[in-house]
Amino acid sequence: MIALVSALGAVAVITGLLVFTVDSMARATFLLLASFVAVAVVLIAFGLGYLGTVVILMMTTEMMIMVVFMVMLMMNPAGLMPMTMVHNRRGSWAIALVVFGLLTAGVWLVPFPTSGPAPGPDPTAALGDALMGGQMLTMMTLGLALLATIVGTVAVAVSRR
Amino acid sequence: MVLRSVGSLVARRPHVLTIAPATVDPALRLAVEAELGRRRWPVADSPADTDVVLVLGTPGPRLGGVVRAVWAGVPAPRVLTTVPTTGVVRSVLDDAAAALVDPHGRKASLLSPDDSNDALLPGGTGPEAQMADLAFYDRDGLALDALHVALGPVLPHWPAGLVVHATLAGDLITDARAEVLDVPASVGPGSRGRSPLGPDRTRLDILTRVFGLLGADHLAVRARRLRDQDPAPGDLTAFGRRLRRNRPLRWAVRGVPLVGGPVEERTLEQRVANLAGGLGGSLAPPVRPTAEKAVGALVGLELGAARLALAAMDPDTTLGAGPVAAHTPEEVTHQHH
Amino acid sequence: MTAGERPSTPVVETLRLLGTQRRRTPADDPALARIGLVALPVAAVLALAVVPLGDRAPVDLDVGVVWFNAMEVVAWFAVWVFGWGPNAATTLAGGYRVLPLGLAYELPHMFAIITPAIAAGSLSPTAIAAAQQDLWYVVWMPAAFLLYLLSVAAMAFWGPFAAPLGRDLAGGAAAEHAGLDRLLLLAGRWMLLTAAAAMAVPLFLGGGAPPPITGPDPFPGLPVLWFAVKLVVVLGLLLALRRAVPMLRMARFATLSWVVLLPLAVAQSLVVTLVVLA
Repeated sequence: MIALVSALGAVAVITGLLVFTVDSMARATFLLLASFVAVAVVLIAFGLGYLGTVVILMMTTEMMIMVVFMVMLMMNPAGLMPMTMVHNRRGSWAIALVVFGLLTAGVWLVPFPTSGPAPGPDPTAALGDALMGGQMLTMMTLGLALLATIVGTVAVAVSRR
Repeated sequence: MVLRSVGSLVARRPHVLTIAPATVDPALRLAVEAELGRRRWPVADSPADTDVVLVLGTPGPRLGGVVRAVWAGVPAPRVLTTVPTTGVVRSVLDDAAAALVDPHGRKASLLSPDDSNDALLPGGTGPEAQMADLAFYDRDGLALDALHVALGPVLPHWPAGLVVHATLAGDLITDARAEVLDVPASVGPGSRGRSPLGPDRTRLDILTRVFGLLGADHLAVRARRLRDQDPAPGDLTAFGRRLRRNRPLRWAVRGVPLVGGPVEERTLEQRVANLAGGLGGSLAPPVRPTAEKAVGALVGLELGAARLALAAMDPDTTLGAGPVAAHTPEEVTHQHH
Repeated sequence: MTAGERPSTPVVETLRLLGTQRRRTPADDPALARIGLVALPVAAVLALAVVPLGDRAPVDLDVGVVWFNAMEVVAWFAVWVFGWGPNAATTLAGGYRVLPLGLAYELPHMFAIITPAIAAGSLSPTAIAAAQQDLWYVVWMPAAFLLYLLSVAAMAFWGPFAAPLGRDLAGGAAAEHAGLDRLLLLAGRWMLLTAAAAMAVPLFLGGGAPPPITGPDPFPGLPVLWFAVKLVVVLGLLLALRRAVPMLRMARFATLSWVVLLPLAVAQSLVVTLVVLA
């Protein structure tokens, strides 16, 4: 178990680093997705089936939406025009190092609970309850309002033609 | 032995890619399509999907170059052959099937292509390389990337000999110019764009292509059979009525404008409705515009809509168009953010 | 595929593709294209793994419905990337079409699969099938079943939704793939269609249980047989759909999906939720 999770963690870190070394947006998208999927499988291995599966679902969809903009903005099939994935090197390094420092400090400084109550039989339901238990009505209303807004926007955009 | 029997099984259903010059005798094209339909040999979508390349009539020098480029992209086992006249269609197809099984026993009617195995094949379906650069104009006024691409002359249900030099932004055509290979634009008014096939067969020929592009195979087969046989006027009007009542079909061709007046109809839906409604009647044959006018109407359309619009307008490529200077990319200096 | 197919056609076509050379195009990205070609059948198998074939799923996942959904989105990625790989305008535009297609069908699809889950109170396909002892969900959530059928065809970019492999793009994302590559692609697509059709059986048609008939069960104790019969019925409906509706342009389908199908899906899940709460 520990070996599997460590291997997946290594895959996630390496593919994440490779994103910045390739010269094509499609490869960068693929590597970023691979990194996310590795993290998702770690979650599934921890017994968080719902969370891990949703990460795969959401991240793949997200990458695909990125591709829509990629093709829309730059009609550039594979390999025609290599490009660099790195911009503003100095600033990026600074931000990356500061964030890394903060997160590492957090790992050591935050008191993690050592032994909580035993996990319930259904972690998916427990997660839902923890996330939305008190605010279920608010979340549902918000969700429906958001959806109605999206549909309404599309309907207006379509009839404008 | 096993390979041989597998080969003979496959040779009963080879995928055929037909390449025709603009000046091809329409009777020859129809005869080949009818014979392929009778044998149930599928039409190949692209060179990668092809077993047999059929060259109709006598291609000119430009189309000859295209044939060579296409042939280089056809994976083995493969056969390249020509159909010079209507009389030899059956024997040529028989020989092609035999050559697929036994590549060494070539018959005289087959070309002797260079069988060198090209690892790297030309991309796309046009004669030119594709190249992306910045668009000069975009619908939304942004300086976005654009791709210059030559569409045709080897595409399914595509007008014979036509190349569309298009600029794409995403899958949107932002600029398009027509060229008919080996037939420069004719001087003077030319013909009236009438097809030598007669009104009903012209309508059915156009409908066959439109339905083929739409993947409505059973409708395409029905239209082609009516075109190739000698149907009673009653059958034709019944088919036309059936098409006009087909709501999914009407819905699928809706929303494509034909801008610039290449034909009298203003939309693709209207054009298809008139083609279907005119079947078996005494109306004048449908107008077939010049390639320039038809291709001009494609600007602003998405690729799929443009293909449908072009098939429905059915430009008369014997009138010629072009030549168009190939797009020459400037020094590629590109940065992205 | 064209008209004039015989029962032997799939076998002949498979042998033909096995015996054909593979090919490459200039300045292509073969590694990425192959990853996409392999990912398509793999995603189909992983999606099928959580479907109860009869009364038990090969992998009985408690969040099977969500897993199924995630694997089908992986198929979008596969199509896009094997369309990108060959570096040709036709394949690129074909692979690109899977994105408007996916964004149009995905939300109605999510509502369609979550509606039976709401009724059964579980995300496990086995539990959902078991919850239909008295009444199949297709009877009292017909709109969700209809939306599921439509989105299944769209998921496998098949029939009216075949635009990513459209003949107008000379085969679209498949245009430059030959031989084994093409076989993987086409087989992966059929597997995806079958997997998606199979999921309709536990979600809407009572899984491996016999239909609520009076009289003796003709296949007693053989849920796999009932599952197979129902799967064939669903596949038959999908074949009829292909014949009835020509290929839709993505702009047409997006309009239909967002303006008609999505509100319908929301209304259906609302009705089911109210019934469950009442």
